[in-house]
Amino acid sequence: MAAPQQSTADTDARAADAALLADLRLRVPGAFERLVRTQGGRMLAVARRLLSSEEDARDAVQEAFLNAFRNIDRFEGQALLSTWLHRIIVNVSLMKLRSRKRKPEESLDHLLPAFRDDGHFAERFESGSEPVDQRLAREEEQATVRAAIEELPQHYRTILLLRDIEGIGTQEVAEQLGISPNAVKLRLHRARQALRTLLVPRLGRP
Amino acid sequence: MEKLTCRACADFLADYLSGELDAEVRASFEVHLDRCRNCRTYLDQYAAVITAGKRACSRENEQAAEAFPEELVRAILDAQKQR
Repeated sequence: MAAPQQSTADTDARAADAALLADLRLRVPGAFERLVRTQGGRMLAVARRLLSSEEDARDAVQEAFLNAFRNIDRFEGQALLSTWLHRIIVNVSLMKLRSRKRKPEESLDHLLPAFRDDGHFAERFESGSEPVDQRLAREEEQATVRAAIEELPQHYRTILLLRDIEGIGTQEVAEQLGISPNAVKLRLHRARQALRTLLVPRLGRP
Repeated sequence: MEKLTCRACADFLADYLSGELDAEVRASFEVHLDRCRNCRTYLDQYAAVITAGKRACSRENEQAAEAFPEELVRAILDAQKQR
């Protein structure tokens, strides 16, 4: 049965987490390296997506770990270490994004659906012989999905990544980016629509 | 109950999926969906793309976890020692 296994895995993760946290607080030799080796990869993936630059992503991960180690005594241990580190790498990456020279906002209007004067969609959407969700789940389409996300204009991509991929709430994203919650919701919706426009026609193509 | 166009339905998609539409608009939205195959297909694809993004990035996280660059581990540990 899935549920008890999940619960055991969760308990194991929490126990391992608590042990590592105790070692980190006591400055046990090797504890920081364990943290870096177990959590670094996922943090690097988050930073690469947000920053679209390997060099900046590596800098962000390094900075995030140094911040984390400096503040380890303030971490209360209610969340998992991985959750805490995830939040830190997102914040460091956003700080790096903000420090870059601002680029003018790119339009994505050409990726939004068009409508006829009577309010109907101008295009007829085909469902195809195999549902889109099943086609998108294929292993060989994972790179296609990631490439399409990468193609979104940065202002939209950042919001899609923060909301849909990293799971940050609308209010927090709004505060981080200095825009209103409604602007976050509107941009997220437009980013998803644009992603659909990019992605669906490419499925199943070499 | 107000009749919705496809354009209005497209505007409401995100709020519909997150359960944030008020009851009256939701009812109009669902009436439109029942009658409009094109909007149903669009909604299915919109929802599928959200799930696909999560899946692809989660896969990317797993792959990155298995291939964290050794030189970055060393750089982080060296920087930590210098503090």
